[in-house]
Amino acid sequence: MKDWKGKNLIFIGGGIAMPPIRCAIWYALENRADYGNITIVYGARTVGDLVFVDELDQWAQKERTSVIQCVDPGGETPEWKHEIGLIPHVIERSNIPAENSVALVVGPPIMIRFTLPVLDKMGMAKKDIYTSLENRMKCGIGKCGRCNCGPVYVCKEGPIFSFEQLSQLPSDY
Amino acid sequence: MSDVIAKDDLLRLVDQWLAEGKRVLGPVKAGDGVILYAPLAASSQLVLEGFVHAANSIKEAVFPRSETIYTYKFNGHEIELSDVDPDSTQCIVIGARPCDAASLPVLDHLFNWDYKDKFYNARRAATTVVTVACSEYDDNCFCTSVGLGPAAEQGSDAMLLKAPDGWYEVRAVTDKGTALFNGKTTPAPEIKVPISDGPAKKFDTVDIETFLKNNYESDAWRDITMRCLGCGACAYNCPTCHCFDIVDEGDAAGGRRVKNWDSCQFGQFTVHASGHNPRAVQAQRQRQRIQHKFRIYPEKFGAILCTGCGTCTRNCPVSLGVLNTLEAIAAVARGSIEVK
Repeated sequence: MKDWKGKNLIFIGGGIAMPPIRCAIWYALENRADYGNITIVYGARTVGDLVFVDELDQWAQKERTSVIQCVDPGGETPEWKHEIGLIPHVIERSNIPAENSVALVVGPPIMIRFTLPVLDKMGMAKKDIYTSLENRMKCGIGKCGRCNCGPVYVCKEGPIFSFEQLSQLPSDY
Repeated sequence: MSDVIAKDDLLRLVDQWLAEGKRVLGPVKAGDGVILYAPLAASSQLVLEGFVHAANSIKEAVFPRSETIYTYKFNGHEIELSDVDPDSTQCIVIGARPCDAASLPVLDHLFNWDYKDKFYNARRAATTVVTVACSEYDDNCFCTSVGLGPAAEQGSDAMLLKAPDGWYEVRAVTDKGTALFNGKTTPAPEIKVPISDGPAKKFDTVDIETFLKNNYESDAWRDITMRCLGCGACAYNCPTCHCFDIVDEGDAAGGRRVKNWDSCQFGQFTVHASGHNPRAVQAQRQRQRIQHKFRIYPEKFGAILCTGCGTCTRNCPVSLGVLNTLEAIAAVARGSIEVK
């Protein structure tokens, strides 16, 4: 994240991805002066599936920080005041500025697969879009043979990849 | 200059190894007349000739089907971990085929890139492999297509070649092999066992690698592998397949963490905690197996993850295996089979 100094940051988390992505958000907020605008997009299937909602409200109060919350259609409650829609659709209609931005996308593979092209369409460079692959691992030392995506062992050579790197790999994730 | 040993003396030597407390692994006749590599109790069990290949491989000598990697104990809120020493019992594999032995230098790459696997390396260092050069083949043999042959020396410490009148020519390949037969052989300048040509070459690995690079999403995978049942017999008996699972076996007091053979052909192999499976159908799993052997491993480690032994096809309940899959791929690449 040190390489991202001076950039706008877009954090996109789906479902239970909030715990891992939260650490990166904390780091950015603790070093607030180093970064431009921060956009946090967090969605889950239903309102009940959202975690750390108190923190989301606190983050929305921080300077140059906006939080977009969403749930899948049908997952909302009568009190729900935020967005309804799948994360890629919500991002598409949210006018998040793509210029000088870096995006970190964490979530289920299906969300990643549909979100990366949306960021690409917004005009972001593929090298500035990062994601984390969730491939199943057992040994974590590049031996047991199950986390690979083509020639890449996710445990040893990932799990963080840029969209540029991911475009070179087979879709085994 | 050749060195020879009489078969009777060889068998006596095997009994001597056993008496010295060494583990000896060799082809034996199991139930139903199936030949298997298994631990010997006496040299009389050893079957050196009269079969093409055992139904399994010798990889158990270095990579057992189940191995404890550490143990744990619960002490109140504390967890006590204990290392398990790698098994370094001296082991001699006798009667392996050259295609079995050739798998060992190939596996060395995987178990020693980045983290060095002490369990594998301890067994590997304690193992001496004595092969018997091949004079018989069947339709499933294709060692010559992957750069090996009936007397390929890769992975062998010593090689036996069947000479007339109950003799074997002994060719030491490594220092371990020399030490094993030191003083046990007789010089026989007149004996020089000819080496056969081996099975005819069945495909070109460069053609295969080119196809694999350009056809990841091809429907050919579905068409060619449709009949695969996903039983994993190919992988368990393969000398080079090395995928494993790690599980904890224990109770409230403690237990052990165990490494067990696994296979990329099983549906649960890559399934995520969420239920999502990147390789949800059998064709994707077959594609992974072939890609791993003929493209990923060569790209990563400079070696093909296949020795052409044909064990996968002999064990396959639907006659698939690497050879038939690759021959079908070669036919698709040539355009002689149309992908629907």
